[in-house]
Formats: sequence, structure tokens, C-alpha cells
Amino acid sequence: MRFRALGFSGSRTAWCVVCAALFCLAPAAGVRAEERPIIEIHPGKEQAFRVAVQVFRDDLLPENPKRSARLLEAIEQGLDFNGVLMPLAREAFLGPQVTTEMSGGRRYDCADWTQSGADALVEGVINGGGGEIEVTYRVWDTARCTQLARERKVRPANELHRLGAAVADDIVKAFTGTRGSADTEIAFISTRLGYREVFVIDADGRNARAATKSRSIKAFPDWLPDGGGILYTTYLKSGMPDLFVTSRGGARAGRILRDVLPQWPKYRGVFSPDGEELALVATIGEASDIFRVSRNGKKVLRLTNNGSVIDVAPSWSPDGQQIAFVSDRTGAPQIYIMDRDGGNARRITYQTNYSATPAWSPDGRWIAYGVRTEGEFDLYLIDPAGEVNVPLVVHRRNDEYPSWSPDGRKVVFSSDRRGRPDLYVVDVNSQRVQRLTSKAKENTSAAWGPFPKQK
Amino acid sequence: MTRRTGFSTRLATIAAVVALAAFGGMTGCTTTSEDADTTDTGSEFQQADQEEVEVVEVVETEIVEAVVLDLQTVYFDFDKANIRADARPVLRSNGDQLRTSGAAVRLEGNTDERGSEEYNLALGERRAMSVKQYLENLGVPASQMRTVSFGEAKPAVAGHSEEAWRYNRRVDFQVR
Repeated sequence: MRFRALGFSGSRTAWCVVCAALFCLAPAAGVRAEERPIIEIHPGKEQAFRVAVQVFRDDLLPENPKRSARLLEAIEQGLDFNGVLMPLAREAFLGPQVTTEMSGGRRYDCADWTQSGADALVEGVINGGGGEIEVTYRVWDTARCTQLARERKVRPANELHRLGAAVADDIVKAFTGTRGSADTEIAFISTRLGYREVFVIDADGRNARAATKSRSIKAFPDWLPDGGGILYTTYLKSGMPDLFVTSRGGARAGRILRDVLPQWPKYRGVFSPDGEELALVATIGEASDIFRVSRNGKKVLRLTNNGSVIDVAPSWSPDGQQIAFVSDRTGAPQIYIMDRDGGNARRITYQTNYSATPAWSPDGRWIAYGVRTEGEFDLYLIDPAGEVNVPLVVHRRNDEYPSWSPDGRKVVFSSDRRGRPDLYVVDVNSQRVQRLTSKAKENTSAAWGPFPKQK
Repeated sequence: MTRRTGFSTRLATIAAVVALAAFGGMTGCTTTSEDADTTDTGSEFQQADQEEVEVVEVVETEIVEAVVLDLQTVYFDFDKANIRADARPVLRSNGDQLRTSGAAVRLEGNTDERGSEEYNLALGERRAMSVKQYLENLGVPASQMRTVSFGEAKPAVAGHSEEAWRYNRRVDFQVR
């Protein structure tokens, strides 16, 4: 969690966020936390920065009186999703509600905004044409009265909501140094069409749509690191599991690694962070092992080889040098880390007799994983040295299969707390939980996609 | 072996007609491997996993003898892959049929819904491996058997209690 409190070193609110982060992550190493309700807890006002977002002046023709309000709503929803800068209530504004003229070099009303309770101000103008909408906007640090960012974004006119989410992510970046993740996507497995198909949903829970529709069992979606497609496992007509890519044009769609271990079941592939290799789970001996395979399939290296021991669930460190995985070499599944050549494997989890689904955070500092206690899974964070182990989601029902947002602030997971499993997002610092899916069918196996390419 | 009928554990009973061709092998069986058809429209995603279509053309004159196999499913304890006492007579019967017929089978391991999906895949496979080893010890050639796992993705019985789970922790026999 890189936190760069730009221009706010003396701010009380900045310290509160840092304190919250430390409180969440530092204590209780190896200690099972008390069960506590964590549903829909909003962070306290002191824990979040406040940002005043003006209604953007709308110069786009033809006129649409609702456009600027819809964009504002999308920006505020994106800010609320990110949870770093919460929108300031409009009745608190002491400055203008609407951007009239974008300020150039210097603002003269910063005191109005700081007195309003705003740590930041966003002003902007809507423009465009030819079916596209263009926004230009500036983010101001009201305490120092300096401009943090000036941005321009263009999207198709029918993607107004995504545009607002992207603006919100920009505002978070201007303020903290790391983009927000409202304008990202999450792949998952859903049975809403009757079969286990790969679906994609916007990170804020909108626009769920099928990425596969071939009526066979699918599992383990994994994004190509450039976001151009999704790798997944399905079963061939011959009954063998194999790896396929569904593409959005960035990669060729179809079966991959066809010539790698062709006689053996391939249960899962996970792309390395640079996209050049895959960690592959396949069985050529008595039980599942992990292999490292070049993307073109020409180089295959066996990383684990322990007879009837199960080695599964690889997760790459962000620098690609290590792989976390699950092994039952001591008799029960636990999390291990090995080097990229398979050497130096060491166990890091000891909490109960069942740990699963490691997911390495984008900053490399944490591994989120599932711990089974009395038959139900909770989610924990452990550092790669295995020294600090803290609860992330503890609930009396199952919380499983974590995947990190690309900014490392959030984790998506599946939970059956309302009956059949749905996807939820937890904010790592505040531990606020938001539900993403609400279909009666099962929604599981989420994989959070990368940041979109910036246009 | 408790036999329950009327619901999907009947999957356990696989009656298959195996063509024993006079000149060995299923020569009428071909596999066409069509390349990725990326023309799928109506979605931002292009997918292609309908390939590997098996086209079976059985030429009648090749069938000399037909054998009906009745291969039963075997069940397992929670988180275990060892062969239970009640599975041994079932496997002896299945093994006799496999030896006599020479039929090629796929041993499909399955688990109940508890546990992590990926570990369950491996656990289902361990069950299939356990069955394969047991049958090998009974004299069934290893070359006749392949193993695969569906983990928790293919339950025989829907439900979220032991009443369903006990029928989902299993290895099915699928004639190839």
C-alpha cells in the first residue's frame, strides 16, 4: 500500500488514514481474531479525505441537460468505491457548485474550500463531438492551493459512467500517487446461464456480461497482464481439462499450450506479471504439480516433484521471482513460497490445518489467502516471511478465493453469507465490504483485471 | 454397496456397448481438431473452446461382438482418498469386467463442495489415482485407464448437507 500524502504532511486526516492502515495490519500476528460484524461499515469521516467535485461545465452539443449531472454522479460513485477521497456534501460548498471558467495559474478561493471541509477541489469542462465525449479537469490541493493534476480524457459518448469512474481514479492518483480501481474489470465464474461460464463485471458492480457461452465447465479465469484477454480452464470433449483464451482482440482466441504435456490433464494456468510465462498446474505423475512454461510453450520446467503430494494454486510475486502455492506435503494443505526455479520452498502458514488460494498483493508485501476454521473459510493477510498474519475478512460463513485490485487497496472474494455465493469487495484499510453481484446463481472464482490502458 | 435409484447416482451405472473390432482398435473413430473460430459475434469477447469435436463413425461391419459393461461408482470419506471397505467388492467387479473386455476407461474423480476449488480438483484426482492403483493391483493393465478430476464442479447430487456430499465424493467410470 504505497501512500504518498501529497502536500498533506501536516494534515490530521492524513495521519488518521495512516494510523488506520497500521492498526489494521500490524498487531495480532498469528492470533485468531474475535469474530466481528464487518458488513457495510463505512469509514469514519476522519479516516477519509474530502473532495469537492464541481458540476463540470457542459460545452458539448447537442445540449443534454442531464449529462453533467450524470457524469458528476459517476465520479462521486467512483470516489465512493475507491474510499480514499469521499465526496464532500454539496450543501457544504462555500465556493461555486458549477465550474464556470477553469482556473489557469492560480486560485483565489482556496480558503472557501478548506473552510468547506474540502481537502481537494475538482473542476472541469465537458466537450467533444463525433460520438465522443471529452472531459478536461484539474485537481487542486486546497490546503496548499496548488494544482495536483490536469487531465484530459476521451471516451465514446455511451460510456459516460466508465468515464466518470476513470476521472475518480485519476483524482485518487493525483492525491495519493496510485490510481484508483473503479475503472477496472473483474472476471469470474457464474452459473447464471446454467453452466459455469466466464463472466466479466465492472469493478463497481455494473455491466455483468458473459465472456464465454459454450456450455462446458469453466474454471480459474486469469487475465492476460495487458488486459487483452482472459485465460481459463475448460474440459475438452475427450474429458480432459485444458487451457483456453477468450480474447478482446489483444490476443488470439482459442486453445493455448496445445503441445505442452499433451497427454496429461492441465488444470490451471496463471500468467506471470510480465506475461511472458505461465505457472501451470498439471498432473503427469501421481498428483498435481506446478510447472513453469514459456508463453509459446517451447520451454517447460517442472517446479515441484513430490510423489503423491498435491502442489497447486500458484500465485506469482509481482517481480516474477517467486511463486506462492498450496501443498499438502505435511499432510494438510498449507501455503508455501518457492523461487521461480522451484528451489528454496518454505512453508509460511501454520494457523489451522487447512490454508488455500494464495494471492500475492501488487506491492509484494502481502499474500491474501483462505484459512479454514471449523469448516468455514476466512480471509487473512500474511507477509511473505510468514511473520505477520492478520485477519482481512472474518465472518461465520465462507469467504474464499481472494484476488487483489491492481492498486492493492482492495480484495475481491466470494462469500456464501447470503446463501449462494456472490462476489464482494473488501477495502483492505477500512475493511468496508461491498457486494458486487446479486444474482441468485453462484458467482465465484474472481480475478481482478489490470488497470485499463490510459487514453 | 448401497444402491439408490431414482436419482442421479444412476450415473454410477454406465452401460456401454464396446465394439470389439476384429482387426483391433476403433478404426472408425477420428478426431477433428478445428481451429479457433473467432467470428463469434454479439460479444466483445471472442472465444473458441468448441474445438476438439469428436466425430465417431462406427462402421457396422466392424462390430463382431458387443459386451455390456456395468461399472459402478465408488465413494469416499471426507478429505480422504483411501479405498473404503465397501468399495472393494465394487472395484473387484469393475476390475473383472475391465480385464475381460479390455475396455479403456476414464476414472473421473470428484469431491463434495467443501474445501477450496483447486485443492478439491487435486483431491478428486488423488481419488482417481487411488482407484487406478487398486485396479492395477487386481491385474487391470495401467494402459487401459486414464485419470481426470472434476473436483467439486460436477456434483452427482445437488445439496449442501452430508446427505448430498456423501454421493459427490466419488470416482465415476467413463468408458472411452
